[in-house]
Amino acid sequence: MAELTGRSQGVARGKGGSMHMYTKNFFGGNGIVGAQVPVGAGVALANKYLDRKAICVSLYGDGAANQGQLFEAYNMAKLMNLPAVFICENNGYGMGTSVDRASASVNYYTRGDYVPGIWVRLCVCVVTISVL
Amino acid sequence: MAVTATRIAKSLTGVLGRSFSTSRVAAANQLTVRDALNSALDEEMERDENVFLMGEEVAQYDGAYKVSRGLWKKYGDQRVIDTPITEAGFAGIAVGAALGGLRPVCEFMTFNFSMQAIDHVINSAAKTFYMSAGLLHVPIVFRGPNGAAAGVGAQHSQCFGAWYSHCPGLKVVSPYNSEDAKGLLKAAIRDPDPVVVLENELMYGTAFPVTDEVLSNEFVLPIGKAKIEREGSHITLVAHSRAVMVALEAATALAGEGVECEVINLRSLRPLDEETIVQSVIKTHNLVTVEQGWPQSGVGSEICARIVESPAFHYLDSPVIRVTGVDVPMPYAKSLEVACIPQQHDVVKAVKKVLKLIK
Repeated sequence: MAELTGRSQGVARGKGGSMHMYTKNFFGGNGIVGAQVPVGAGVALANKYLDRKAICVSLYGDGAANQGQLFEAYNMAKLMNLPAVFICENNGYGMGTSVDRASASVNYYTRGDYVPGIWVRLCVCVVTISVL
Repeated sequence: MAVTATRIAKSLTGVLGRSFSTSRVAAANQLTVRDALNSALDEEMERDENVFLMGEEVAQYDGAYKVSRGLWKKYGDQRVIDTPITEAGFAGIAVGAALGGLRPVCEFMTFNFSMQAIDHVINSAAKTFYMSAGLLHVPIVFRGPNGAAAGVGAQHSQCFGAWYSHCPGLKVVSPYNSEDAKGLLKAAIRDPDPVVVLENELMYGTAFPVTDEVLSNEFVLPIGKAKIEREGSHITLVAHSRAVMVALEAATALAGEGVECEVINLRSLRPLDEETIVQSVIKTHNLVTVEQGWPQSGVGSEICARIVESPAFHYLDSPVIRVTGVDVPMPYAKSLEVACIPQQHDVVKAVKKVLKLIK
C-alpha cells in the first residue's frame, strides 16, 4: 500500500508505483505490457544456465497477448528449450476493447503454436506444478 | 583462438629485437579494433563464466563482422548463442537473463536494429535499478556497430549516440581506437548496470599501435573519462568514435599552418567528461565539436549547453561551432554519402571560422 501511494516506506521507496514492485524472485511489474514476456523467458534462460531447477512464469493479459515480442519469446523459448511458463489472464477486455475486436484468434492457449497450451476456465484456480 | 597480428608482431620482435637498440619503439604491438573487441570478449568470458554473448550470427558465423571469431568454438552453445532475427524478443530475453543473475552481452548487428528493441534497452534495463529503488541491478551490455558505414543507405547509417546518452540509467561509451575498444568493452562487461557500447564498423579493420599493458587481460578503462589525444593551445576539438580520426587529421593539417588544436576523444557519452572539456576550453578559449550524428539535439549540442553553464563560458573568444552529419537521411550514392559526413576540410573550415582566420 505504501508503494501504491508513493510513500518512501514502499517496497520500491515510492519510486516504482503500482506497476513496478519487486521482491525476491519477482521481477516486476512492467508498464510496457508484453515486455515482461521475453524478460521472463530470459529469467528462465538464467535458471537453466545456472542449473537452478526452477521455472519462470510470465503473466500477461489478453490485450498484451497480441504483442509481437511474445511470439519472438515463444520462438526462442522453444528453440532453446527454456523452463518458461506463459500465462494469459483473459478477462475479456483490454481496457475498453473486447477480445474479439482486438484478436483475430481468441483461443489464447493455442497462440503459442508449437508451445503446448492449456485453457483453464476458472475464477479461482490453484495449480500445482512439479518442478523437474 | 585465431593467431592475431599482435602475436606475429611479438614473435618478430623477439627475432629482430636483438639486433637494434631502437627495436622496442619500432616494433610496437599492432592491434585492430576488431581484435581488441574479440580479446575483450574472450578475456571477460574466461574470467567470469556467467558472461555470455547472444545476437545474430555471433556463434557459427563467427560474427557478422567477425568480432566474435573463435568464441563459439571455444565456449560452445550455451555461452555464444545465435538468435533469430527478433531484436525485441532477444533483447528482452537478454535483460531477463541479467535479472536472473547472468552477465549477457547482447549484440545488435547494427544499432539501427536496436530501435526494434529500444523499449527493452530503456524501459526494461536502464530504468529498473531506479524503479526498484536499488533492489535490482541489470548487468547487461548492448554492443554493436553504430553510425554510418559505407554505402548502406539511410536505414543502416544512423548514429544513436544522442538518443542513448539522453537516458538516465544507461552508461554509453563510444570507442575510437583499439585501446578504447578493449578497455571500454571490458569495463562495460564488468559494470553492474546497463552499458551501451557504440562501436564503428569502419574502424574494425584499422590497426593501432598499443602498449603491452593494453594487451594484458586486466586492461580496463574508466567509463566517463575522456582522453586528450593531442595537446594544443589555440582551440579545442571534441569528438567521439570515428570523428576523432577526422579531428586528428584536421589537427595535423592545421598544425602545418601554425594552428595548434587540442583534440579530445570523449570515449564516453554518458557520463560525459565535462571537466576535461571545460579545463581544455579554459586553456584554449575556442571550441569546435565534431560528430557524425545529426545536429539537432546531438552530442555537440549537449557539449555547447554544458560549456555555457560552466565557468568555461567566460573564457570563450568566439561562439562554438558544431561540425555534424548533414541533417538528412543518409543518401546511398558514394559522393553524397561523403558530403553528408564531416570530413577533414569541414573541420578545418570550422576551426578557421572560430579563430576568425576566414569569414
